Amino acid sequence: MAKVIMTADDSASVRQMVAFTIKQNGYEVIEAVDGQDALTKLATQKVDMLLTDLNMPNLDGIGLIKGVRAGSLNKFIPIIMLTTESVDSKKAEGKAAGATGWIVKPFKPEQLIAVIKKVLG
Amino acid sequence: MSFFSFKKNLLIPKTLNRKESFGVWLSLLGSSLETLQQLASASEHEFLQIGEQMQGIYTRAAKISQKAEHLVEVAAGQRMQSLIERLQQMVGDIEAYLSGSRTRSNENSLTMQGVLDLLDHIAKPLEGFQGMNMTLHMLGVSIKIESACLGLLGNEFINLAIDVEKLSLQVDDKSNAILKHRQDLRLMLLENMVSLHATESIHDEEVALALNSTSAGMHELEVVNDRFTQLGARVAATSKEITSNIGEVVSSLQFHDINRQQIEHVIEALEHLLLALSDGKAVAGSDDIYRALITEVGNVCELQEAQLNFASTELYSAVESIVGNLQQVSGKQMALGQETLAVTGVLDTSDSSFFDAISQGMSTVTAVLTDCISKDHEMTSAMKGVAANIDEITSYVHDIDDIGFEIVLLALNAQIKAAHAGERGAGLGVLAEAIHRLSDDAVERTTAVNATLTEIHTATEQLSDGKRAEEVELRSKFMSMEGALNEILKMLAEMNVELLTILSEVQAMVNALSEEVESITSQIDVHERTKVMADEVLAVLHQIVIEVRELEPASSEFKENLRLMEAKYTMESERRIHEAIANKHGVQQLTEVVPAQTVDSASGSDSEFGDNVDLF
Repeated sequence: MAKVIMTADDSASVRQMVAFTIKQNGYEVIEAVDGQDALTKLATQKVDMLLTDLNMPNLDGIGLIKGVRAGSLNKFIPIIMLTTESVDSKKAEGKAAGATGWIVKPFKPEQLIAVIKKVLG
Repeated sequence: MSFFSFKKNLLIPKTLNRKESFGVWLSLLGSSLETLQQLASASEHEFLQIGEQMQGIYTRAAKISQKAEHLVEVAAGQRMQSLIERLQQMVGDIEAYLSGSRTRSNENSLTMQGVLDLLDHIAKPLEGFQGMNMTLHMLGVSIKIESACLGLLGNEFINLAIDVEKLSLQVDDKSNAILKHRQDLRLMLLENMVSLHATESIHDEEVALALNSTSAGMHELEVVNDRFTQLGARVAATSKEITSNIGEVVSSLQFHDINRQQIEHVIEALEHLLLALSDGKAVAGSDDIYRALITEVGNVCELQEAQLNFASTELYSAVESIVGNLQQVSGKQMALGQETLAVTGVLDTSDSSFFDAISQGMSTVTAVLTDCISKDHEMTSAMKGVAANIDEITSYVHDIDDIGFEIVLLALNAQIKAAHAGERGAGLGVLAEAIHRLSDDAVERTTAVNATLTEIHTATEQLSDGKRAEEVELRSKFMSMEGALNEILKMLAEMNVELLTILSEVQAMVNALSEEVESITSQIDVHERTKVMADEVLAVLHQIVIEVRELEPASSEFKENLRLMEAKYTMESERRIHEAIANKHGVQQLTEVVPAQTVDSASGSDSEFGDNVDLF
């Protein structure tokens, strides 16, 4: 059964590219338009992994990670930040919140897939 | 098409006062902000559309690659291997047939030559029958003469003389018939030998032709197999290249989001500036406040000009990369389509493929084998004719044998009658003795001829039986070879149809993809339009910087501020631009104002996934 990955990003074009990349490699995708939307969906939907942007309206990536880690259904899933932010201080903040990894945009499809495979095992 | 008309005559007259200058800048920056806000959101729909089109192109390119792989499978896969193996087997069978056919022909030729020799061998005994006929005739006449000398006593010998005459005539008839049959048989054998040699020659040529045709077909299939195996590698390489092109497109499409954020940062900076300029204190305040504000205007505009310029250039390059990579996908598929046609050996899908040549070769093999079997059948019929002729000769010889027995009886009768006649029958006794010797001679000759005829019969029977057995074996082998050939032809025909169908599909798909890519890429002008908008804002910012710097040059304070302002940026590209501006103003080394917390990555090295990836 295909593993399910959620992509949370306020940019429709980024969600489109992430979804295209991971669907091509046999994963199922759930899209969320911001942190709040993601958190709402994750409350009822079990996923295997979360890919999230950092800067999003309503609830940002750090807030989303904290919300997921505080929840129960997807508490222990790997979470990869997918963002244009590259400063170490932000990465440290993400790591402290419970992020599993950090990918700076633009990413190459093979990079994203390699990270997903590594993290999902 | 531009969202805004390009603004001209930006220069602010030097005669303007403080309030008027601020008013112009406010107006220009306000207008630019509107443009930037549209710029930040205007291209979202277009990028999404390009993304959808790219996915469509990728899906279609993948289907073309799958078709090409299928084509390779049809032309170089298991079925092709099976065909090659069957043809190898067939070449072996034909070679064995050729060798066996040659051996059989030699044996047949030797047998017929042997029969001819035997027929020559019986010529002398058969001619002896003619002599015997003459002797019998002479004896019959002599008996009549002797009988006449004996007067009444001789009357009994007259009937004997008549019987001898009759036997003489019978021997004459039979021996003539035998000689005629021998002659006919000889001619038949000679004709058959000539025919056999001719058949041998034709067989050799035709079987060699079949062998060459089969070998050529097999060689062609092996060549095709190699070519398609190479094409398979080429298809795989092209698929990999296309995946790489699509990867580049995916990367480039993300620049919309990056560009949007960069512009949002520019907007944020300009909005702050607009607030400051809108504040009445700046207009009505002291010279220091005024100078500080116009310095800030210069600083902010110079930096945002650089940031916007970079963002605009980066987006333009990204879209060009998208267009270029999509065109490369189309170009590579076109090249693959052409290469596929070239490898298949057809110029277009209406032409025949290499399979037709092989099929023709296979048809030739079938025709040749049919002809070979027909010629073998003719030879078998001929040998049956020889055997029948020998049987007839044998029956005549048996008749002579019977005549010889009758001569013996006549001789005994003559001897008895001669004895009854006493001394006067002495002459007849001598004649009777001669008849007896003639019967012995006849037996001796018929025995000799019979022995030879038995030899001939045995040889021709063997030849005929052997031919029949050979014919059955050959027919069985031929049926098997014909079945295999028909199966190969059927497979070739199926493969041909399938191949041409796939080729036609590939060509149609490649052409459609090419047209679509051309149509899509020719319509992509988002980078041109956004560039016009960005250029419009850039011109405004640049002009403001020039005017402001004329009023108040960049101070050392600006250089110090560069360090502080750097901390506001989070994107690597933004920091690089900032650094470039710093370098321009002679700030040699920028240090991070806010100490960065170090992040330990679990991967230890970023190189495993790239410099932009950290796993904690």
